[in-house]
This record gives sequence, structure tokens and C-alpha cells, in this order.
Amino acid sequence: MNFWNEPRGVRSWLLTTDHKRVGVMFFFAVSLFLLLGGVFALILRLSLVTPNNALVDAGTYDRLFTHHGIIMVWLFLIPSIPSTFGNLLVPLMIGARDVAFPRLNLASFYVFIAGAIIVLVALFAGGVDTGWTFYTPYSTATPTAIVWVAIGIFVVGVSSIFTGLNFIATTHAMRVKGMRWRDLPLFVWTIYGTSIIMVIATPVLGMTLLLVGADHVWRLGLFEPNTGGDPVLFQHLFWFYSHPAVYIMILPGMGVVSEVVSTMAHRRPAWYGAIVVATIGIAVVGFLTWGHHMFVAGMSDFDVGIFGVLSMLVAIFSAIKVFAWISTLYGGSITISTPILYVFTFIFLFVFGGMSGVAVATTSLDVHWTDTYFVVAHFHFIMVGGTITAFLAAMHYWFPKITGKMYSETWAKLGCAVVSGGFIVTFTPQFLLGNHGMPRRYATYPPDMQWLHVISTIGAFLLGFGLVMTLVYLAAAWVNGKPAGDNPWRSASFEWRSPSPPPHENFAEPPKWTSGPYTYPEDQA
Amino acid sequence: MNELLRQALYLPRQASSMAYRIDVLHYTVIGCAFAVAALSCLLVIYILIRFREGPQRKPPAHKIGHVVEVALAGFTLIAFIAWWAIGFTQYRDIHSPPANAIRIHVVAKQWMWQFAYPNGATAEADLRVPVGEPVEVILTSRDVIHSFYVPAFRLKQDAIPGRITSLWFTATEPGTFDILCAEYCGAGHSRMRGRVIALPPADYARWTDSHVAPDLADAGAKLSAAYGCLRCHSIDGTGYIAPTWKGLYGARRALTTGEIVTADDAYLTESMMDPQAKLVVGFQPVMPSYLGLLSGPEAAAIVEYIRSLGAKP
Amino acid sequence: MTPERAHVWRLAVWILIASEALLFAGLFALYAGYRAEYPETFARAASEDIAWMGGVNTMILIASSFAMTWAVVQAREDRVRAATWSLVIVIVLGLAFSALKLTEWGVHISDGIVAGAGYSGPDEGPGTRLFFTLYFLMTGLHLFHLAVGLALVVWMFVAARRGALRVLPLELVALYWNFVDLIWMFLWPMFYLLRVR
Repeated sequence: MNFWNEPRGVRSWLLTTDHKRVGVMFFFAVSLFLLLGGVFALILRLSLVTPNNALVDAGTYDRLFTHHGIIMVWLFLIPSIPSTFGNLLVPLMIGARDVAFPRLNLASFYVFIAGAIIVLVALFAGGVDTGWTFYTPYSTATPTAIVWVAIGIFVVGVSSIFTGLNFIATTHAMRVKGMRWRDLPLFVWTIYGTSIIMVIATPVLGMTLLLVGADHVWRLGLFEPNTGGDPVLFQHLFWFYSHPAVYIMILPGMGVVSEVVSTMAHRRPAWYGAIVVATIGIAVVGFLTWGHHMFVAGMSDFDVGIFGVLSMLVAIFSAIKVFAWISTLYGGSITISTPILYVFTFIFLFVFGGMSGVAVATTSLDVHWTDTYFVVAHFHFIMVGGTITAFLAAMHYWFPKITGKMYSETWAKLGCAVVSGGFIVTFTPQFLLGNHGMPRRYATYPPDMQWLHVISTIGAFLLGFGLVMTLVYLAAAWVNGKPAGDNPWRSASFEWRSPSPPPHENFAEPPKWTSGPYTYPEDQA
Repeated sequence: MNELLRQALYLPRQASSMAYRIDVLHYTVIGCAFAVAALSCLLVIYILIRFREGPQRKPPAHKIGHVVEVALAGFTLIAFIAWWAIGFTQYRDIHSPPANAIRIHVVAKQWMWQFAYPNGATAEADLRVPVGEPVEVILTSRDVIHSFYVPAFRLKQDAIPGRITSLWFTATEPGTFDILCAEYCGAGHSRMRGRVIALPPADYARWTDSHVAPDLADAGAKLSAAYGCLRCHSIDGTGYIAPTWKGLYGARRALTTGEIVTADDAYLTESMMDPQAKLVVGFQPVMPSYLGLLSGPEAAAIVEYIRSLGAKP
Repeated sequence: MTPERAHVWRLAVWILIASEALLFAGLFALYAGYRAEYPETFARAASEDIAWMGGVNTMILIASSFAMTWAVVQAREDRVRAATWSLVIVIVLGLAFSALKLTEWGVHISDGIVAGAGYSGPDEGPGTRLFFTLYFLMTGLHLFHLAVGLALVVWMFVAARRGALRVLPLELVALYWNFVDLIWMFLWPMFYLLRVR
């Protein structure tokens, strides 16, 4: 008996308040959106094989990249790790029976689905051609379905706020007796930091998008020059959310990496305090760097300088985390497994992607790179190379926990190699394209750039193939994999102290605080 | 060395006074980024092999102390701040034109660039500048946000409706360099291209002085390029985003409403001012309205130009 | 309900309020940006708003907050009758505020002062339309929040009539009501007080 089959019936799933079931439902939803966004990406890549875009016309191309961005950002990346693995694991990791507000948790799932349906219907019925950034005044004038997309994203935002509120309350109030803040697992810390961003930043975005929608319908002219409005003000409001949103995407990924590193090295994370400070630091300073998206948008030199230097500060927090992971591994007793291989990929891609972020924060370099493929490559290194690799690491690390089964290590390692290779082949050429001066969102391009586009497209298909393959062998393992045992990685963390898969209320009896989540007998450091 | 790195990184030519300085910083930062990523990659591989779990599990050893932690973080921070300081100095230089710079006004619109020179000469698509003399480009937009981007100069600046922005450069070699729009502006975004033509100062002076007004159909041709009509409407019979103009004048076309319309002066003028009112079957409603942008004589000149491209009897 | 559980509920409502505050923050930022750009226009346009209505509405909301808090105090002492009457006062004051606000909108609209392209009111200079668009958006969003608050208060009232009034929910509703009141305390100077004669 475990949470999968107790209680039984479709109804018990649809009306469940069990955090694990909500997490599972989120998992299937966001995986579907990942595939959908991926299909759009593949069509985009395919149409860029020829310089004159033989596949689709410019208007269709504009819709395709907009749909790719909207689906990936709002329907996959933002809910990906918090709503799936956060829901599945945060209560388990702190020894709780459930989240603080189980019904609100279920509501957040349905609100998310409702928002997603509004967005998707709007995209497929009318389509939007503004790019996921909705820059005014283009977005207030375009004759496309912008209003419904804005409403849909607002609704999805409400779901984010519910989730964030729930995790903050859960972390504050549901910890097992004896677990102090300084005993909190690092993954929970990152979810906590992420939740703060969700609760604080999401409403600003929601309001901004509603304003664009209202402007579109009633011609309010809030961002239009002919009423005295300022289009750049929209960008400030938009990036005030959308820059912290980047940390909503990456912080939980960092938490996953911290957990995997500690478990696989069988030792307490090095520099625990520094990681916590860096996590909260990123969450806070992340709110003060939005202007680095606008270095060529006519801000004053003074503002540009301030935003540049604050961006460097965020980079330093990320660097501290990387040092800490390497330091944990150094001298550990490391189990070579698929999750740790994904962490290896993560570290490489995140370091290079992060350093390319430092490069674009170096203001004068950004003048050449902004709005080119260099920036596209940079944020895909962080979003795909960071968040998706961490998502996959989490999937492989907690797979035995959630299903009770073990996947084939051979297939998993092969999958990891294909995904990592496909990723590098896709996005490395895009750095060079950016250097050469290829602006983003171009349906057609000068012919001398074609060879790089072709390589990138080949990589994209490799990456897509790797992702599908991963889903297939994991599904196969779920159906008829070998039983994994309660704690296959011999982790000391709390989530592994209950049976795998966990029973309905997680722990047979209220867990006792005997040792912290990182207490390893062989760890003498 | 410069040439080697430039080609390895697939950068365009360095055709402005700013380009070389920016590229040197580029090489440094990207070189460090790559070195650090490669080093950490190798380090992790080494660690994974050296400390992998053996048949007899060794007790973990080797702890890296707090001194190393603080030192690493401090060193990284100093490097980042140093790059920022150099970069920001360059950024300020881009926005501090010398007093003797030639001021050229640029108006961006869907989907084309227009240039106005100090002596009153105007041009579209091609921006002629003298080599070796500082030029300040003053940007604004007629409709949505565009971005003036010259990769060979390593320069970019948004053109924003209702606002003035600027940048300056000195072209260092004669030649032709692409102007691209870098801020997404609609269906014609990727075709909103122009050229900077850097001329020896004497040639530049000759060109600006020799600007003359053309006849009506000629003026229409110029205007249709200037207003970006030709980004979507071809003049050779091929359809792209919009109907071709070849043989359009006087032709009868089916509308999305099911009606048939004759492309006479009235219809053509209406389609410029209110494009979505009578949409021809098979085309998307993407054309912006030119109401308030085109003056009466300008619209007439464009109609005259369409007529000159051939009429159906 | 355990004290821990009550603590969680209070925390949740405070987080919700933080989130709500940020929902308004975008509009406050727009107001600040445009006020800085068009200070004279905004000061002149503010004198179009009906000062006495804004002032009276402010008094009404302060009084309602007082009544709301009084209801909580009474409920804590288990004096349900007094608490119920305080809630009635809150409801009446809330309705009065809404009525006055809608009346002011009506006057504006009949003067041609509307949000968006249909504006035909007095021209106070560049940015006039921005001022009134923000006026309608912000007072409208506030009124919407007030309506939600009013529904919650009615819910409390019904619970009290049924003899099922609990202190914690009442306290949380009061918290929310006071937050809505506080938002108005910012809107009042922005749209009524910072003006030229």
C-alpha cells in the first residue's frame, strides 16, 4: 500500500489533497508542455535551415517563436521543479505529513491547468506574434490574441502564488520537531527562496500583462507615445518580474544539485552556511538587476552602471555555489550514477552559461550581444543547460523514491550522453552566430551564417531525441523495472526514511528527529 | 593575434574606432569563461575518478577550508568588478560623442531606415558616412521599437517612438557594412536591413551635395522603399507577405468578404490608410496603417509608381 | 485549532497581503514614473477629482477600520452581539464608500473624463489621459478589493448570526480589510491632495 494505490479510484486522484499526487499530476502536465514547447522549437530550427526560410512565412515564424517562448517559460520552466519535485519532496524532506494547506495545493494545480488551457486555446485559435516579452507599443497594436494570452498567464501566475505561499508556510510551520532552520535540507532552502520570489514578483507581472491586454482592448495608451506614455516603462515593469523569474527557474535546480552531490558523495554539503546565504542572496539581489535587459534601451549611463555591477553580485553568489559543490565532491566517496552525471553536465553548462552572463553584464560587450543569438545561447545554457539538466537529475535521483522502481543505468547513461551532446551541439553555434551579428527573432538571415544554423538544427533534433528516449525508458522502468528498495542511494536525508513509494501520509508514524538530513556515518569531516 | 581570435570567434570586421577595444575585452572575458568552464569540468572528472566509491569504501577525507572559500569568492568578485569597470568605461565612451561629430538623424519604421543629413539631404536604407570623422546617429521611431545595429561597428541602440536616443562612431575603413534591426518589430523584422557605406570624406561631400528631387513615379519608388512597402510587396510578380504590385493597377481581386474589387486609385489609397478594411484573399492582416504617416502627395506618388509597374487593360 | 495552526493561517494571510501589495505596486510605479514626467499636468488634473468625495470616503474607511477592529475586540471577549453590530457598521460604511465612489465616476464620465481613447474631458496638458487612466485603474482595482472584503465581512456576519463566529477568521478578515483601507490612504493623496488650486 502506498500513495499510488491508496485510496483507489480516479475520483480519489482528481480530488486528492496528497502533496505527492498533486506533484505527480503537475509532473505529467509540465512534461506535456515541455514536449509541446519542444515541438515548436524543432519547427523553428527546421525553418532556419535555409537563409530565406523555405518552410514558413514571416508571420507564422513570429508566432512559432512566441508560442515556444510562452509555453516554455510559463507552462514549463516556472512550475517545472517547484511544482513537481517541490510538491513531491518538500514535506517528505522536512518530515511532514503534507503541505500546510493541502486543499490550496490542489487548487493551485487546477488553477494552473485552467490558465494553461486559456493560454493554449488563445495560441492555437488566434496565435500571438509579440515574442514572450510582449514589448509595447508593438504588443498593444498587434491584431493577434494578446488579450487572452495575458489573461491566461495571469491565471497561471495565481497558481504560482498559491504554490509559493504554501511552501513558505510549510517550511515555517511543518518541520519535524527538532529540525532547526540550520538543519533544513538545501533543496528546501532553494524552494523557500523561490517561493519568496514567486509571491513577490508574480503579481507585478500579472498586473503588467493585464495592462497590456486592457491597453489593447480600450486603447488606454498607457505605454503609447501619442498619449505621453513611455514604452520603456513597460520593459521596466516586465523585467522586474521576468528577471527574478529566471531565478525561479534556476534556484530549485541548484537545490537539486546540492542534494544529489551530498547524497552521491555521502557527506554533509561543504559550506552549508555559504550556500544558504547565496540562495537567499540570489533571491534578494535578483530583484535589483532587471535593468541589465535594457542596456541599449536608452537608460541613463548611471542606471546602466548600477544594474551592471549588481548583476555581477548575483554572479558571485552562483560562483560560491559551484565552489561548494566541487568542494563537497572533493574527498567524498562518490557513487557514479546517472544523477551525478547530470550534475556533471549541469556544472559545465552552468559555469559556461553563467560566465557568458558575466560577459553580457560587462556593459560595453552587451551592446554588441544584446538581442542577438549570443543572448539566446546564454539563456538557453542557463534555462536548458541548467534547469532541464537539473530537472532530469531530479527525475533520475528521486525516481526510485516515487515509483519504488529502478531504471536501467545503461539506458540512463546513454540518455544523459545524448541529451548533453545534443545540447552542446545546439547552442554552442548560437554563441558564434551572435558574435557574427545574427539578431534573434529573425525569420530570414544573411546566407553566410547558414552552416552554423544547420549544425544547431542537427543538435536540436539530437536533444529532442534524447529527451523522448529518456521519457520512454523511464516509463518502461516504471512499468516493469526492478524494485529499488527504500533507499537505493543510501542517503541520510529525511525523504528516504519513509518507504519508497511513500504511504498516503508519508510516514507510518511521526518521524523522530534523531540525526540531521546530512549525517553520514562515514563522513568524518 | 587579434585577427586570429576575431576569426576564431566568428566576429565581423572591426570597422569602427570602438570595435577593437571592445573586442579585446571580449577575448579576455570569453577566454576566461571558457578556461574556467573547462577547468571545472576537468576538475570534476578528476574528482569523480579519484574519489569514486571503491570495493572498500574509504572514509571521506580532504576538506577544503573556509580560507579557500573566501579567497576564491573574493578573487572572483575582484575579476568580475574589474571587467565591469573596463566595460562600463567603454559604454560611457559610446554615449559621449565629440563636439565636432556630424549629426545624422535616423527614423526607423516598419520596416525601413531613413536618414537625414545636416545639409538637408535625405536617404533611405543606405547610410553614407565619411571615413575617419566622428558621426553621431540620433535615433527615433515612427511606430514600434526598433534597434539600430551595425555588427561591424559593435554598436547597437534602440530606436524608440516618442524618444530620442543616440550613439556615435568613427568609421575606420571604407566599405559597406550591414545595418540590422535588432528589436523585434513584426513580420518584416528580419528584412529591415540597411547598409552603412563608409566613403572617403571627399566622396561623402560630393554625395550629400548632389542630392536632387526625382519625378513623381520616381518619387513614389523612393517613398515605397522609404516607408517599407517593398519589404512585403514585390515589384516583379512574386508574392511574399503581401500582393505583388506588378500588374496590380486596374486588376480585379477577390476579398476575404467574398466581394470583388478593382484596384483603382481609390482602393489603393484606402488600402494604405486602412489596410484591414478590404483584405485580398490569401493574405494575413499584417499591414500597418499609414494614416497620418503618408501625406496626400506621397500617397499619390506611390499610386503613380504602382501604375507605372504595369496596368491590366 | 492549535496555536501553531493559527500561526500558519496568520502567516499565510500576511504573505497574501504582501502579494496583493505588489499587485498594486506596478500601478504605483507607473503613477510615480508619469508624475515625475508630467508634474504640472498631474497636479492640475488632480483638481478635477471631487475633493469632498475623496475626503468623505477617507473618513468612511477610517471609521470602518475602527469598527472592524472593534468587532475583533468584542469577538475575543465573546460578546457576539456587539461584534455583530460592529460588522453591520462595517458593511454599511463599505456600501457607502462604494456608492460615493461610483457617483464620482458617474460625474467624471458625464464630463467626458474616461479611461482610454474616448477621453473628451478638459485638456490639462500632455499626460492628462495617463492621469485619468491611472485614476480609473487604481480606484477601480481598489474598489474591486473592497468588494471582495465586503463579501468576506458579510460572510462573517452570517456566521455570527448563526452563532458560529470564530475569532481567527474574523481577525484575518479584519487584517485584509485594514489592508484595503491602507491602499486607499495612498490613493487619496495621489489623486486628491497633491493638486494645484
